[in-house]
Amino acid sequence: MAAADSCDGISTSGGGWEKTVTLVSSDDARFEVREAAASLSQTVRRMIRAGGDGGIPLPKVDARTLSTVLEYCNKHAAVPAPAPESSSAEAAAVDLEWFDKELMHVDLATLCSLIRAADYLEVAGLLDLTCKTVADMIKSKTAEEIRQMFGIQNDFTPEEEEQLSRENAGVFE
Amino acid sequence: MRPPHTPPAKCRRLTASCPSIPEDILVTEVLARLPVRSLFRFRSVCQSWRAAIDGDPRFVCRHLELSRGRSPPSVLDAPCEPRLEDYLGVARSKEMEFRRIRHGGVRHGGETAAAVDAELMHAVVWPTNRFTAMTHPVHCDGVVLVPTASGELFVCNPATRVLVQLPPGSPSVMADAVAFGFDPSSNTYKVARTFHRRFEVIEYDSESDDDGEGYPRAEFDIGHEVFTLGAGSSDWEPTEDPPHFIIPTARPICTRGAFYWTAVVGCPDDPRPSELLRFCLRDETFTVVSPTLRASR
Repeated sequence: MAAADSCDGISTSGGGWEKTVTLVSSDDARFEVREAAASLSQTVRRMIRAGGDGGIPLPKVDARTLSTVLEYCNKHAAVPAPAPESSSAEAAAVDLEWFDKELMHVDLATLCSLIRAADYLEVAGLLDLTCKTVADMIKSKTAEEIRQMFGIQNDFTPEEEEQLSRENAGVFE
Repeated sequence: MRPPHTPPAKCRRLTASCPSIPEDILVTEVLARLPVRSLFRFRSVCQSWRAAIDGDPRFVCRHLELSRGRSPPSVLDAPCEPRLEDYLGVARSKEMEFRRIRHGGVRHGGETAAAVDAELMHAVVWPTNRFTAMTHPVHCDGVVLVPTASGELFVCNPATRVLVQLPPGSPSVMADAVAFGFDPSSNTYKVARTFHRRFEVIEYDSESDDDGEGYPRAEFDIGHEVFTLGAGSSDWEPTEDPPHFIIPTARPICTRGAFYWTAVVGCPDDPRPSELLRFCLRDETFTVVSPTLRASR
């Protein structure tokens, strides 16, 4: 998932001229992206409208996370809009679904970084995808496993714990 | 736009490097996508998770919104098993079952099951034989209001298996009509019921009738009251009296923000067409729905 790989080639692909913008990550990596793809981020879209030069600074997103976000944006912005219900529309939807699934094959820490980035950048589709992935990842875990996954300390008093187990007892067995 | 992120206030982290999700996203986007079964377990994770699951309005709204979009749709059925009969021959039961009906369920082995698969969600068992076959449950957003023939009202959430009995309303001399729905203006669920302070059928004196056609006349005094769920108040609040007689056997139509009652003008046996009364949940007032909007009888 190298940053350069996911962004090079974009501005030259497709044969035609496409307007690009430069995004700058918190660790000063520069990404040249098609404006159509970058505009999937409402935050970036507003900054493009506001104008300015020298690249759009995104101080809350590091290069590694930003490259994944842009991978998502490039793919989702590239999907043409064929006639609905045509076979190509169906194929495009299947392809996109497969792409999303592959993109989510990452560890929890990466997912959490992606969630924070998607929220800050306001990429609604990616926020939805990442949160759904985390929900699926945790839904079968026990409370203790959740604490370990997220490093949360059990802050209940013994009395409260007892009450909780009473409340949960026999509810779903 | 979301408010600025704040780390979960009460959940102390063991290490700074542990993966974390801003709390508002955790609540409205991650927890809101979990099934009730997982949420029950996750109440035990820490204080802030429990607080969110138990009562964060953002969580409640989002969870409902996301579950509405989920397929396949399911319906709730609350059949009462007539196990015991009292001397009136009215079937009564201690139990009431909620089933989630799924269409076109596929059983193991790839064999397609009968068109409908009824999965038992929750069986309510009450110590006394209270549930009668005459009850007409009313539901809203997955929560069911179960009136019994003896006038008690239960509210049940089959997903969380919570069953509560509402306090008794004003005394009534006959069977009541009940309605249950959501009031967007106050963001609460409300139960409404009619009650009769007096109800008498008076024999008609045909000589004083100008039309020459007599019918028995009923004299009544009808009241109406509302109970707000989870509002901290634990009692019925009287509203203005309905302008007409509400037919107790006609089930009300419960929409977001209003209940529609079927009523008759004058008295129950009056041959004049029935009226539709709209009870607005926001200002708790009745209006007669314009006759032009109704189908003619």
